[in-house]
Formats: sequence, structure tokens, C-alpha cells
Amino acid sequence: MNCFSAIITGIETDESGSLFLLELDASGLQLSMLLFDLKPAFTEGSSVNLLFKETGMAIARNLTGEISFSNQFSATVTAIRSGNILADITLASPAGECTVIVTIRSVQRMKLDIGDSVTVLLHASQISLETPRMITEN
Amino acid sequence: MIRITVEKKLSGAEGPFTLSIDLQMKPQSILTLYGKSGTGKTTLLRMLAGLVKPDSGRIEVNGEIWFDSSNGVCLPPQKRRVGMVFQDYALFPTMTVRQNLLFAQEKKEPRKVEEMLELTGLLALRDRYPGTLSGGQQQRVALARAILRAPDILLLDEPLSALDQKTRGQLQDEILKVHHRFGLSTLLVSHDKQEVFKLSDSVAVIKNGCITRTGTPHDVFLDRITSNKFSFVSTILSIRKVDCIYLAVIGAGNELVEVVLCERDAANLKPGDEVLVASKAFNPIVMKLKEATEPEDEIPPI
Repeated sequence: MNCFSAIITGIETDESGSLFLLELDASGLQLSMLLFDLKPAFTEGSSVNLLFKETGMAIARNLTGEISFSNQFSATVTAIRSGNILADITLASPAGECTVIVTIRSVQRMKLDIGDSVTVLLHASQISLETPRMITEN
Repeated sequence: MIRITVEKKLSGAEGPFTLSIDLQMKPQSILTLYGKSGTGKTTLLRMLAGLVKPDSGRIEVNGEIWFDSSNGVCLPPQKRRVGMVFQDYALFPTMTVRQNLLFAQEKKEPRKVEEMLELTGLLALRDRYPGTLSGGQQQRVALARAILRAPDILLLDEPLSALDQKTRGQLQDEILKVHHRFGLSTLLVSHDKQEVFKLSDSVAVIKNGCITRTGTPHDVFLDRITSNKFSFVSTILSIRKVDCIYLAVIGAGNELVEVVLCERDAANLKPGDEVLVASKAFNPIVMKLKEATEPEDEIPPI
């Protein structure tokens, strides 16, 4: 699971007040996410953790044209761990380290190597939110 | 509202300690006491039932004072409208199911007993003796008997801990059903987090005789607020490496699910760990099933 720290910078809601589009600032990266039933703990200015799964994102090279992914940001490949079918790729981004799982075929087709610059693509619907972890005695 | 403020010196396995409880319970809610054994949970239940006398304090149930050490009030057990269910059924072995229920009634109303037998699916077992019933069936009788007294408070002391997973799940549903149907105020003792999540409106963690945390199960156990729509608490049963990812087997009720983990997740998790499994409302695929038929492996409740 990937985790970025961020601050909620904007909240937009639908007519019924049940679907929300949040604008987020993750160390300078402008991201957005969708969620239902915004809990009172989440307001504009709140510090949050953004959680997203390694298998629910994509990476691109030399991306041109328009694409529907709400979130696109640059990152650098810092490690590639290959299996026979899948590869676990570690990326350095301004918001911190994250990992993406792609097929080996994609790695080969994209000729991906350590040090390469890529664009990370992340759906607004694939990000989860949590309050920053608190340290408690239990 | 149920307000409990009690103190009592107890002797535990690690020496004497003071049970010091200050607890409020909303009517018609399920509050769970969660904690290790020997922390005073059962003693607290027995104090409510009038079986153990606190050293000091006050117990107020829906405006009625059951105990008040400042002016010597202490209602005897028979004056407190309490329903109790323990781990060990505590049914009368020489009475049939129906007789066990009838015995519990102060004012004998056989018609109400019949209604309760029907509601709890015990009608077919009404003339059987407890010794001929399964554990789950006996506990269903104990639950029916406890509710029949129309209790101001229903006390459940680890009622399902001796039952297998499937029966436990069925009886949890049963408890929820009767709790809502009769608008009961239920105080449950449990050390099963899944059970706490499934049944409780709120949970109080009890440690060395004191309540250390209260709140919803999410607030208490997850200590952070997540935005996920679908989530359940469960235990990791196994983790195995597949290619360069990991597959974790996680129990979900009676089913098992497999969930993909990445290296970083797997490094922090091991079999036996309790986890929250969560998914956004956007992710699950929903498919209509073929014309509903009786599921083959479904065992009827009784």
C-alpha cells in the first residue's frame, strides 16, 4: 500500500451531498480524489494520509495527448524487482516514495530502467483517505 | 440511560487491584466490554445483576436506582430486570426447552413463551431436554429465556465463545435481531474483535479494572479514521509469495478471501495479525446471480 501525506485544499460535493471530490496538496503535488460520505474529521486544511494500491495505478513514458486519469505526476524509477510475469517498480516522487506493479511485458515494451523519468497515473477513485496515524497506548 | 459508577477491590492473578468503572450506556444500544480475562468484566456484569455488591458507587437504570452506596440502596437480584446469558448455557437439565422458558417468567404467560419459541426458531425443539441439543441450540434457548423477562438490560458474558465459527455467526445475527426487535439495552463481554465490530454500537476497553478507551469499534481499534466504504476486521491466515507479489489468505466470516500484498506490506504483516481489509465503493464488481435456489451447503439454523 502506498501512502502520501497531504493536506485537503478543496472540497466539492454533488447536489445530494453524498459524493465528494477532494483537492489535495501532497508536498506540492496537486491531486484529487473521490469519496462518499465525508466524515467530519476531514475538512479543508486537514492533514491526511492518501492510500493507494500498487496494482491500481499506471505509469507512462513520453505521454502525449489527453487522458482521463485525474492524477498525473512525474517520478523517477529507483528500483525494479522482476518476477516472471510481474515487476515491482519503486518510484521517487516529490510526495515521497511509491511502488507500482506492472507486467514484465510492459517493462520491456517501455524499455524501463533505473533512473528513467515516468508519469504516474492514478484514478481519483482509487485513493483512500485516513487521518494521520496517532500514537496511542493501546 | 444506564449510568454505572462503581468501585470494588478485587484480587486478580497478579495481585489485588481496584475495579473502578464509570460508564454510560444509551438505551437500545449494544455496548461491548473488551479486555483480557481477569480485568473485572464479568464482575461488572454481576454487579449489575445484583450478584456482587460494589464497595461504593451508584447504578442507575432508566431513571431507577439499583444501587447507591451513599444512601444504602441495593436492590436484590430479583428486583432488577436483567437478562443474563453466559458461555455455559446454564439451562435446567430436567426441564424441556419450553419449561425452561416458562420458569423464567415471573407472570406465567404460555402464549408469550410460544411466540418467543417461534421467533427464535425453537418451536420444533420445545419438548426436547437441553442435554439433547447442540451448543448453539442451547445458547439460543438461553438467549430466548433471557429476553422473555423483558429485561431493562441484557447481559451477555462471552455467550458465543464456546461455539464454532458458523454457529457463532448465526447466533450473532440472532442477537442483533432480537436486540432490535425488542429494543433492548445490551451489555456484551467479548474478546473477539470481529464480534465487537459486528455487534457493537460502542465499545469500552477495560484494562486492570479501569476503562481506558471508549468509542465506536472503528474509533477504538483503528485509532484513525478511514474513508473506505467496504471494510471488515479479520485475521491473516497465511501469506505466500507469488511471482514478485504476495497473496494473503484472510478469513471473512465463514469465507476465505485472497488479497494481493506488495513487498512492503508483506514485510509488516504475518499470519495471525489482525487487520482491517478495506476497499473503496468504486472497486467491487457486482453481478446478478442466476435464479435464486436453495444454496447447497446452507445448513438450516436448527
